[in-house]
Parts: sequence; structure tokens; C-alpha cells
Amino acid sequence: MTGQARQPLSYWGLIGGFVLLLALAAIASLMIGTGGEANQISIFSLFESDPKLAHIILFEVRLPRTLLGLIVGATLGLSGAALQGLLRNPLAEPGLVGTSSGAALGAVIVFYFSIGGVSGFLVPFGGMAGALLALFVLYALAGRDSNIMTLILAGVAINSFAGAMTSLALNLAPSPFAALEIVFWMLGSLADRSMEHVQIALPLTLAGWALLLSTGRPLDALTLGEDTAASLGYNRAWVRARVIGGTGLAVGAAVSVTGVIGFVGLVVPHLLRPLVGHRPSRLLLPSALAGALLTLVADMAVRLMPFGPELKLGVVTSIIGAPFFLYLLLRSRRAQL
Amino acid sequence: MTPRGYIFGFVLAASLCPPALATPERVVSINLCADELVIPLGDRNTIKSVSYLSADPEESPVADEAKDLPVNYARAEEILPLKPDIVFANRFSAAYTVNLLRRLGVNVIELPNPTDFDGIRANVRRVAELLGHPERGEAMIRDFNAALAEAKMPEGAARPLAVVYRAGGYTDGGTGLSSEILAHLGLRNMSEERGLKQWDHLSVEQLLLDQPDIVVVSAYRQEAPSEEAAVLEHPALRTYLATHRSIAIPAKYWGCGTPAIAEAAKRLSALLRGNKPQ
Amino acid sequence: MSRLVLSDLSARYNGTPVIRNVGFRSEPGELVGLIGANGAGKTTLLRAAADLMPFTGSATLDDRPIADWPRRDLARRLAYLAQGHDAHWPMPVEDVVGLGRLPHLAFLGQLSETDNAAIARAMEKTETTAFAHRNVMTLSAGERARVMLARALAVEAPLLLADEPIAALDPYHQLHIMEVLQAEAAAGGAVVVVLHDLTLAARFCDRLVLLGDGQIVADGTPDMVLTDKNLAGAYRISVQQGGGGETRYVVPWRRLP
Repeated sequence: MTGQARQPLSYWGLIGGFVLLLALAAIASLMIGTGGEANQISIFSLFESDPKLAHIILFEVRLPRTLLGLIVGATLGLSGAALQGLLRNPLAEPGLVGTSSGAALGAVIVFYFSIGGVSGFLVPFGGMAGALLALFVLYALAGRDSNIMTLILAGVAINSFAGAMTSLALNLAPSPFAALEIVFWMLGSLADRSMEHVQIALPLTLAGWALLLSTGRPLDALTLGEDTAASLGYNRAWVRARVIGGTGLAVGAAVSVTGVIGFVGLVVPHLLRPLVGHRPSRLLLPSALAGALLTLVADMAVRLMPFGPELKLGVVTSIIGAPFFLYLLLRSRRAQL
Repeated sequence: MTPRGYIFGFVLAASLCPPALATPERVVSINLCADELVIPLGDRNTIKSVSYLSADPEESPVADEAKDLPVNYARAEEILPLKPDIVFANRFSAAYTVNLLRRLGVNVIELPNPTDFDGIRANVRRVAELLGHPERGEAMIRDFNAALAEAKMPEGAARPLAVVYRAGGYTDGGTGLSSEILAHLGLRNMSEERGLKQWDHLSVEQLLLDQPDIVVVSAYRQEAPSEEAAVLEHPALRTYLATHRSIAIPAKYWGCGTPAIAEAAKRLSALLRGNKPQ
Repeated sequence: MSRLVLSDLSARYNGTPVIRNVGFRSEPGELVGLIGANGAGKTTLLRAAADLMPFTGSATLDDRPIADWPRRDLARRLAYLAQGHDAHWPMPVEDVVGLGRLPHLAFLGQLSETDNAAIARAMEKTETTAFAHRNVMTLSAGERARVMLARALAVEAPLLLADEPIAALDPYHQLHIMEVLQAEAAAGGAVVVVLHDLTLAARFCDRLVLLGDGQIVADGTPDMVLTDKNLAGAYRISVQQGGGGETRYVVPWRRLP
């Protein structure tokens, strides 16, 4: 007996579990305000005393923050899982292909030349343009080459260039205040985003998700190598296009609204892989859900922390993510010895 | 003017005044530079919150007045329950927050960063008007002008070469408020003569080469270690400062473009007159 | 049902021509052995036939050009077993074998009874049923080779192209796999297998195709192909050979200058 009956139940059980946790986290996120644990405004008592204000705070301040946390977290988890499947490497993450830094550069450029300030809606469009441009360059450099290494190197090249240009923008910034504003933006945050930002980011995000979720089976086939995957009926160029295109669109949209939030796309698929039997196709949806969950939890931590000026979300995910990643590396090295 | 003229003038002025001269009941400021104007110009009982930096004496020239006011960290969820009639911000503050507040119908005024004295006066007038006390604005401007006039050096005197050197090596070129002050005090501006603009960088070497007669150092949190503070501690610079006329003026006086900058002018003027050596 | 015909086929690797003007046929019911020295072009030939790389010339499956077949249909008719037996993720063996059913799965479909039966059959044939739940990366090279063959057999395609499936196996399993392949051909499938072991090639294959320097040197029964002259030319070796039928042997003996 091939024991196929065992897997689907625990897989859907896993999905169901994550959906439940995510729903709880989303509800909690709507109930948690900014300013530290000591300064929480209870939304329930607010509804009694001042329903109009409560309505505004709930739907115009907390809801977009929660939605963006879900969107960005799901995007990072999903694209991380897809990239790790495509590159057959558990260390791949969405930043690798250069779209995060391209999006950041696009946003910084628009911000640099605009009068609208960093929250103006031109900035997200600049970010998305930057991400798409980075994608285009990636394809020009490595698109037709079947070698994975070329792809990775092209991503490294784009990251280096975008980073250098961003540093240049900082260097030439008209004042230290402007430079600081750019730096802080790039650290990544969900604070005080509006429903407008959700609306701006959503179309490209959904397009990206559609592309990424369609790559499940091809990624499974790729487990056996590119030739075998092709012989099983999967056009490898098209698979690659979907993974990278989907990553570029969704991550670009996310970064252009929130700045750069790291480690979620790396750590989440890594953690979940053993739970889904290491199957790339089964990793996609759980990674999206868990990525959203992790991002929401981290953002709630940011809001509950007692520091005056709010910690940046990107900083928190790095602080959690980097040591954790190191731990994973050491553990896998020990396993190999 | 005759009493009739006064009455006529008053009626005319009153009829020309924009209707929004009502005093706002609930005023919030989310930026330090705005605090510096809002706190003196507004009615204290209407100020519901100011930025958290305003009570820090290292940062704020109005720290004493701000001491007992509630503070905010420029977060929408803090500001909204205050139900402000007007929120004062600055070009570089909390851009997402400003955007969100405006979207929700809050009246947010973004004050520009002035680059000359007239710009300062314009900001003062605007804030005073918005707070319903134009007369306080005029008074503040009068004090400002008086302080500047007092600090002004007599014509015809020799024009020493001065340079303003801030933490990090930033200087003021031909633009910027500190260059206005130097010009006001009859000093030649070394950075301007070098063709630098506001916030351009000046190296210690360049400073020493030009041999300015007066070095104005703008100091900020010198106890806290930082790259920027380290530049001011540079041994070559210290030696130069020990043997030439120099003065350290706290950054808080000219960090924002407010009348507090007159204090900087006053201190520099005192140095020039020889009242305070070094 | 699964006739593969290559004619005038040429292919390059990194710009260098590897095979030139090759003509080749594979018929249902035949186990064809593809032999030749390293670098002669065997893998390239197989990959071109499986439409995994560009080529010039003609390749048809059931009289239809390979490039004209829709991907999924081609995947159901042609199973390809690559060299090297890579498995990148530590998946359970039965999942790996199950990947062979991908060309048969409906959109968003799960493995059906038919699929499970095919997987079970494939694992039985390769004697890998015992490690159905084991992590594929913990298997020995030989065990993994059998799992990969099971994956290819699970496709249940009428044509199987296998690139050195017995290279890492012990003699027991080498014999076993050749028997499996022979049985597949006997059951009506067309099988092309690349191998280096001349004795096994002689004993099990219905036909041998000897490749030398990118061209077909000989194509026919093992006796016709495995002449001392051909072997000297293609491999630069002399052999000791003899026996017949079940007892046929071909042993590489000496290198030739």
C-alpha cells in the first residue's frame, strides 16, 4: 500500500490549523493599538464611549495595518517557498532575485525628487516600477540561460547596483533629515498605512500570488532535476518565469508600501518544510499562511513594546530572524558531520 | 492717526480678516520645530499634545514651557482620540501619519523649513494666525527683530572670516539660516566663499587651510559617542579652536527655523564684541 | 503506439557539435542498448530524442514530430530517466515515485486509485516497496537508482528512455534491473537504455546501437555489433568474448594504443 491516505488529512489539518491561528492573530491585531502595553486603548470601551472614533481607529488605522501585515507576510512566505523550490536550495529568499532592492530604489528615487513626501501615492508606484525594472534586467541578464547559477549571480548584481544607487541617493540627499527619512523608510514598517496603500498594493500582489501558486507541481517535478521535470511535461522556462515574475510583482508591491522586511521569506519555508514532507508544492500555501502569521505577530510585538518611537518592523524581523537562521545553519552543519 | 481713523482702520482690518480667525480649541503638534512656535503662540489650555522631543532640554529651546504638556510620538492612533482641530507638522515628520490623518479629515498644517529670516517670520505669522492670536505672532516677530538688531554689528568694521561647523562636518553655505546670521553680523562666510551650499560637507583640512578668524561650532549631545561628535573632537580642530576665536552654540537654537535662532546671533555677537572670550 | 524515429539528427553542446546526422529507430517490444565510449554522444542522443534540448533534423514519435506533441501528452508517452539520480529534497520514497504520475494528474487533482496502483506496481518491479516511507536521501546510491527507475516506470509510458540506470548498482541489482527492462519490452513497451556493461548489453538487449564520435558506428543484433573491430574502433579496447544466448560474455581485456 502506498499510504497515500495518510498525507492529505494531516496536510489539510495543517492548513486548517494555520488558517485558524491566522484568524485569531488578525483579530488580536485589530484589538491591539500602538504605544506600548501600558497605553492600550480598548476598542470595545471606545465603541461605547465614542463609536465614531472607534470606527475610524478600527477601520482606517488598525484594519489597513492588519491587512498589510497579512498581505506582506503571505507574499514573503509564498515567494520564499517558491524560490527555494525553484532554486532547489533552502537558503533562497525573495531578496535574492533583486526585486526588493529594486523596489526600494524605485521608491527612494520617487521620494527623492518628489515634494509629496515618503507616503505620497507616487512612491508605491515608483517602487513597483523599480521592481518590474529589476525583473526585466534579471531576465535580460539570465533569462534564457538555463543555468541557475547565472540567475543567482544576476540577482546579486542587481542587488549590488540597487544598493549602490540607494547609497548614492542617501549621500546626495539634500539634508540629513531627508537621508534619515529614507533610511527609516527602508527599515520596513506597517505604521500608519492607510486603506489606500492596501488598494494600491493589492492588484500586483494578487497577480503575483496567482503566478506563484500555480507553480506547485512543476516545483515538485524539479525535485528530480531539470531534465526529469521537463520530461514530466513542465516547460522549465515557463516555470522559472512564473516563480520569478510572481515574486517580482508581489514582493515589489509589498516593499513599495512597507519598505524592506527581511527574513520572513527565508525562515518560514525553512521551518515548515519538514511538516509537509519536504514537498515543494505542499510548502506554498502553508508558507503563505505562516508568513502572514509571523508578520502579524511581529507587528503586534512592535506595537506592544514600551519604546517611545515605535521600533521598525524590519528591525524586529531581522533581530528574530538572523540568530534563528544562524541556529538553523549550525544545526544542519552538525547533522552533516 | 485720529480716533476715527483708528476705528475705520479697525473695522476695515476686521472685515478683511479671514473668518477662520477663531481660536482652535484643540491643538496638537507632532514635530519639534512646530512645537517651538505652537507652545509660545497658542493658548496653553488648548494644546492637547506636543512632540516628545519638546521637553528635552538638549533638543528643545522651549523645554521649560513644554515640561508639563502631554507628549505624542506622532502616531495616528495617539492623535485621533485627541480630536484635534488643527495638527502642526513639518515637511519631514511622520509622512505616513500626516497622510493618514489628512485622509481622515484632520486639518494638518505642514510648516516649511525656512532658509532666511523672512521665512521664519512667515512661519510665525502663519502659526499665530491659525492659532487665533496674530498679535502674539507680531509680538514674537518684534522681539525677534529687536534681538537681531541688538546683535547687529556696526557698519564699516572689519569683516572677519567665519565658518559655522556642525557635528559631522556639516556647514552652511550661501544658503541657510546660519549664513543669514553671519551676514547679519557682518561676517564673511567661509563656506559661501568656497561655494558650498547648506548641508554640504566641510573637512577639517579645508577649514584649517582657509584659516577663518572665527569658528562657530554647533554642538549636539557631545557626551554621547558618535562619528559626528568625533569630528568636533578632532585634535587639529581643537588646536585651532584653542588659538583662534571660537564659540560653541547649542544646536537647539538653530536646529529649527524659529526665532530661537536669535539667541545664536546674540551669543555670536557677544563674542565679536569681546564680551565673552572663547 | 510508441515508435521513435530519429533521422539526420544533429545536436550541439555549448556550441560544439556532439552528434551528427544520426539515424535511429526504436520499436515497441524491443529493448535497445545504446553503447559507446564516454563523450560519444549517448546522453545527448537520448536527450534530443526526449525533446530536452534543441536539435536539427527530424525526431518523430508515432510519426508525429516530437515538437508538435503537446507537453502533457508527450510526458505520458515518453518516460525519461536521467543520469545521476538527483533528489534535492529529503522526500519519502513513495512521494518520489508518485512524481511519475504527474503527467496523468488532472488540474488540482489528487492521486487516484489508478495512480496508486501504478505506483505500487512500479515499486514492486524494482523491489523498492520496503522503503516506501523512507527518506530518499538516506538511501544508498544503488537503492536510490532503483527508486528513480520506479519513478520512471510509474509513468507507465509506452516508451522509456533510460540513461545509465544500472551504473551504481551491485551485480544482483544490475541483473534485476535488466530483467525488469527486458520484461517491459516483452510486455509491449519500447525501451532504450544507455549502458557500459557489454556483457549485460549482449545478453539482454534485442538490438544494440554503437555510437562513436557522434555518429552511428553499428546498429543491429549484439552479435552483429560487438565485433572486435567495432569495439576496438569505438572503445579502443580488445575484448575476450564468447558463449552464446544466455551464456554470452564480453569482457574488456586490454587497452589498445
